[in-house]
Amino acid sequence: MTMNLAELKVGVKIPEIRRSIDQANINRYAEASGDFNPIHIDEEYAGNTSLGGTIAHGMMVLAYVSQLMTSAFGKAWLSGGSLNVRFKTPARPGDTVTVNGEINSVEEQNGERQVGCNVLVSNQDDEVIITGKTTVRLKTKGQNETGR
Amino acid sequence: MPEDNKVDLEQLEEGYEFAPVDFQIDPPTATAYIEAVGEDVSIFRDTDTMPPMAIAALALTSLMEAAPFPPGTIHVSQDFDFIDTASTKDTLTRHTRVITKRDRGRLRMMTIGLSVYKNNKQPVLTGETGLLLP
Repeated sequence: MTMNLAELKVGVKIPEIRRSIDQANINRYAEASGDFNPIHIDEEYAGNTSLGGTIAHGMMVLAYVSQLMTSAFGKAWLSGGSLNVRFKTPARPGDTVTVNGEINSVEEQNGERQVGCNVLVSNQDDEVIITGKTTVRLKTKGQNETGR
Repeated sequence: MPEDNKVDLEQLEEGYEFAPVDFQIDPPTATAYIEAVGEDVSIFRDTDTMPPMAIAALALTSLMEAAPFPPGTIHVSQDFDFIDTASTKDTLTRHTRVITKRDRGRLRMMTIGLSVYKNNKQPVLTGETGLLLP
């Protein structure tokens, strides 16, 4: 459910999402995206690299960040969202990742409200998988700002 | 998805522009993507609007197919601006260019600029992808 206007304040946390990652997920993502880099799907190949085993696609885990933002901001995220992230540690089969977001800025300008968030994806050991920032522009005049 | 003619990694100097590539994401591919990432919102479930990350992922995959990035290339950073939605009916065009290329010891860092347009001219998304090459 998207957030209400009144909820958009600095410090507000976006309801987190959690995903379990296994090799079957990764293989499904490889099929869907067409990204068959062996570090994701070939356990023998990946095991012989410095990674020590297969890792999830960064874009797969980043999709969870986009999901968090879509759940919070709806259509406004799809045509007015931006993100800037770094992939810090790979997510691996067996991990459970949690995606958190917290509003860090709210600015009004020219009939738009620009909401900035810090986003963090971490695993069950609190290792940081992805860290970064997102911004979403919301219309404040003439339409429901989260596009519901 | 059609491929660019492959180029040698050494040809990928800063400013190099890959040939634009048209692609379309058909409904089965969109559905497979949505299921693979567990996307479960009505915007995507009940309409033919695609998640922006699906467009981004398939555009990046087509770039990886066209470019000579070696196995073991790691995605280290990503920026995106989502400008407009696109649907399974839209013909999308990917434009990509090399923004930076730096050698650090035995590793090479590259930043690739990516833009996707729909129906020839309407921007859908832009972004920059940071890669670490073995």
